[in-house]
Amino acid sequence: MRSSREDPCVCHLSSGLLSLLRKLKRSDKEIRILLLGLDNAGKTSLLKRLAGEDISEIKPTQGFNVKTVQQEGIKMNVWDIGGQQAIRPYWRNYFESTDVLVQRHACFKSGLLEEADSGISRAWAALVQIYVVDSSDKRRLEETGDELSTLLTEQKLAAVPLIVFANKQDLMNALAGDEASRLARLNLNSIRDRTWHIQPCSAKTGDGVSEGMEWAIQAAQKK
Amino acid sequence: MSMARSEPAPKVGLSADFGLSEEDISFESPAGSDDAKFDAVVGELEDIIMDDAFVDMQNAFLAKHHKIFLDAEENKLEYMDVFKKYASAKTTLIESYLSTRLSARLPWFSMPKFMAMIRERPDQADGDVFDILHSLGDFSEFKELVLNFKREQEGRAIDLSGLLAVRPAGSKAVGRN
Repeated sequence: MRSSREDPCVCHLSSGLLSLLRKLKRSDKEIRILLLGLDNAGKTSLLKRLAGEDISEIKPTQGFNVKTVQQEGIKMNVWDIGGQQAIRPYWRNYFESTDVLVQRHACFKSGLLEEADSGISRAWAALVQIYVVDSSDKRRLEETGDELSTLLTEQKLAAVPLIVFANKQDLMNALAGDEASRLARLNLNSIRDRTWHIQPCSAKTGDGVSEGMEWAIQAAQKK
Repeated sequence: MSMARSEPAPKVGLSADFGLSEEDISFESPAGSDDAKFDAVVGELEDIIMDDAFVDMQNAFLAKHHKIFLDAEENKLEYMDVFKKYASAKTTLIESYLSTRLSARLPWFSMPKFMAMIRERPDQADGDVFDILHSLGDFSEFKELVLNFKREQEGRAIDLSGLLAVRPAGSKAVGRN
């Protein structure tokens, strides 16, 4: 799958006007959420739980799911991307909202360079990252720690609030949130460039889920 | 002792044709005319979005890309590429049309100045046209657009005309107007 390449001939035609207008329409009542994590962590279950849907027949996600859910009057646009190893390279296709992508295509005429830069940071203001961990899968804690560490170095995700959902707390052998975090070497305490939170939860029973989303909403609105 | 200076006479020709007053001619005019300018540009934006050229562009795009889309809840990774291309192409097209048309119709128009004006008065960005623009960035709406197109192409769109056939119940005398 080829990534779309910028067409230099088209670049000079774009003033960035529509991007600006779209940015003005963005309300505080809208948040974009990115659900990432290893395969089988419970991302799709979490998404369906948020949408109030049945989670008994979930298959491994080969692509991605998008749903819009409401909580406390806030509209959340939630993106659940498959976590299998072969799919992880595609995660970066979802880091930017389309607003930001179009902004990058815009021609930097006088006065617009500043607009483009501030536009990019404002477009990110409404993004929250949820990283889901299977708290019962001790064998793969190191792997999930590695993937999260990589995500934290992504330029396009800089300063984006992070919640680690320590999922599957309904299972007998699930580690507690902070224990899982320690063993996965998430090193959350050393994070300085963004707000973060660990939320123990069970997508299966629903425990901890709305609390985690509440944190997400507040974190997004602080920006 | 100050000297009387004469201001250059504002041009009225083209602006009069578009219902604009003399005051609307330059960005240095009193604040009230900013509203008129803004409305003029939004009006053009609305016309442009309805323009046949955009419907054609959209259909050409959908014809080219709809085959990979399936009517299923889960999305293939490829859909994201297509969506980004669509949003980018449509946005650029609208902006280039807008630039050209505005410069032709509104001689005072300057895109950088207009954008500076919007930034100062963000509350004015209200109305249907802005909702449409906003939807350009909405993946779910785009997917629905593609699937509708696909259904029509594959002849699965519900054809109601067959349901409305009227047959006389056994009567030989069939009057038709």
